[in-house]
Amino acid sequence: MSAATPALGQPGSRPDSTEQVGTPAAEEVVPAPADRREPGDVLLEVRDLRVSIPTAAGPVHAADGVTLTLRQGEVLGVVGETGSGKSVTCRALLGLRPTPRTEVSGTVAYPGLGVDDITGLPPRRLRRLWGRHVAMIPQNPMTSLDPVRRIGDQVAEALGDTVHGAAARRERVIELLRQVGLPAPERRLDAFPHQFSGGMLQRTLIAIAIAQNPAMLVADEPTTALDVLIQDQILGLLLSLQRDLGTSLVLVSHDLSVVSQVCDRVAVMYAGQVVELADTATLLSSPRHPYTRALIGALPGAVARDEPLRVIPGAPPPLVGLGPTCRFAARCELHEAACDEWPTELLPVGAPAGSPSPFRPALRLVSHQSRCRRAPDLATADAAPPTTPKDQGEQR
Amino acid sequence: MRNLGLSWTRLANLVPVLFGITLVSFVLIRLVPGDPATQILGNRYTPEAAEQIRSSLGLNDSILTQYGIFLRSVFSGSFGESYQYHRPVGEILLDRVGPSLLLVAVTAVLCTLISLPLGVLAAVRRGGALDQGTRVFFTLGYALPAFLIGIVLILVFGLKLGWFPIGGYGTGLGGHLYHLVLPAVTLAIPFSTVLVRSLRASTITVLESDFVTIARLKGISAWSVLARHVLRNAIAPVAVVFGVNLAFLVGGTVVIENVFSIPGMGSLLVGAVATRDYPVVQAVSLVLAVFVLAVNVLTDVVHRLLDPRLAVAVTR
Repeated sequence: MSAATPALGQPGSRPDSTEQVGTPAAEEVVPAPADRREPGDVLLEVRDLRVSIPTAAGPVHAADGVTLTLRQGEVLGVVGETGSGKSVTCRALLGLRPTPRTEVSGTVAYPGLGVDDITGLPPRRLRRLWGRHVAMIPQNPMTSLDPVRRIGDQVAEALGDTVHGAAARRERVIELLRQVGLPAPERRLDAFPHQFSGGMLQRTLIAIAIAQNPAMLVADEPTTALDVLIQDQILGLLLSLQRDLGTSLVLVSHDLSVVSQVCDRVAVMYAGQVVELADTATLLSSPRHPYTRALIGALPGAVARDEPLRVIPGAPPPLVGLGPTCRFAARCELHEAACDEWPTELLPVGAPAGSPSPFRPALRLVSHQSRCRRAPDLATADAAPPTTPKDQGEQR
Repeated sequence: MRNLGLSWTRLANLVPVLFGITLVSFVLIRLVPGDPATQILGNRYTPEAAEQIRSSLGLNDSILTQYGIFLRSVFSGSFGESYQYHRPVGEILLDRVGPSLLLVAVTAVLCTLISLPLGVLAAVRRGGALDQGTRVFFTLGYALPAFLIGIVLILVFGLKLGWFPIGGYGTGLGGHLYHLVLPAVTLAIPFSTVLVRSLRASTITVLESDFVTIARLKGISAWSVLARHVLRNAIAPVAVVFGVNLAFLVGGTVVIENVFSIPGMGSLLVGAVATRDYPVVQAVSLVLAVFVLAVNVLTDVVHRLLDPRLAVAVTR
């Protein structure tokens, strides 16, 4: 995939980024001028984020102590199975809650935007952030556009007050739609969403997301609902826009192979927690959590053609009433009795922090972190023989 | 025509329906026991006089001949001559249709004014005081029969407080409207219940939909999201409920017109059934049926105007 080409987006050269966001009033909660967009600056800082959704069976902890940072211009992958809490977590980064009664605690700060914490903010104040600084690309493009409003109007609505005058707005909408590769956009402004294909809808939604050139995009499984052929196009588009605009991107996916191709760093989520966080190359070559290792082992390319695909036995636990100990224990091949006594914590392991990103050398990466008690054992395991997936299989 | 989402076939389908209605109204009133001649003669009844009246009204002709005569009278617009009033039914209808239509119209407007804000606000502030309050009030209003609500309203606002007239129709449009306040409120309470509940439900569904989240994430105001994206999507399904219930409302006016002594088609119908005034009963049933059909067609048009997906399905 072309997106993996390094250095194309030397994120120093973004001429239009400052003038785009230079007009907010002084009393606003979100002081936009702080958005300087220096590559490598910390844009987003999440600490101990907990999202609990009340249900009849008790509170569901969809996110349970998530801590991570996102730098300007970085692509962070969030992988996990269905029900691992990745979607809820990433929506919480935007201040979205799955239900009005959901409780959110911890901090979600945007130091790059001068915002200390958005977890307690009402939608009225989050609005200053939305569209202008952060935006989302949804999982299901078919249901994400208003069926009774015209495409052009829906994109124009996302312009905020960046463009004035009907003609100028129309021009900008056409330009945005062209930018996302919608063919003949000037003839499609009056179309309704039901006249568009899934791919065209997702392109439109990407146009809406980048309309005000936000600092961060959250793409929540942006290709899951699309045809396989379209999936690559949309992902490629998303990444080339990300490079050109210098936007940070949080890419949620259940597909480790997709994430590993395009992300600078990957957070692996399991049962509402980040179990391992590392830059992509490190994560793939020396995973420090058995779940990550199992995921890599389960990739279709990990086994020879004539061998059956490897699966992880069992299923993730329901996100209700889980304790502080390891949540992967029941499915883990390295599980020992001591694991059941040990409250897990995301701790630094392996390579030192500050190594350059494999895709964008300008980015310095934070440390490799794992929640596994036996992470050091995993280090010695992959230090001994070269870790081809086949070897991993034999260790089991 | 097409812009309204109507096709000629859709309208052509109404013709056999109308024929069916003439047949049903013709047959049904004749199935009711009793005899127009007996009603007309009262205590002057003798078998010979009754027989003479029956033959002069054409009731001794074969049922097919009678139906033919009725059909011809429908096409001529006279609808035959009333046994009771000795005038062409068409003329009587012209006097009576206005009050009924005005009552239905006032009720429909009242319902819209009541249920639109209440339904949407109850959904936006789900579980709040307004939501709970409207639920209790309208459930109560729905559970009580309309005539009972009417009588309570007459007692309180008509007799006790003296704010509104307790019956009649007044003169001039202002007078008509003034006299229609209590009957319209009486009809609007149960009708609004259905509308508030379905609008609340559809608004909640729309509020939880993905496109509303995306609209919010554009950073536009909550009011804009509601006005531009939520309202129209929430109203479209309720428009259908509104149409269906408006048709029922037409039936509801029959009772209410009698409670409030409004000289409309409802009170005409009740009197005509009592006296077995066949031509009047047939004509009123037909007019009410045409009205219900018209409401249905209008509902379709409104629904298509609200939802572009339906409009396209017709034009293609």
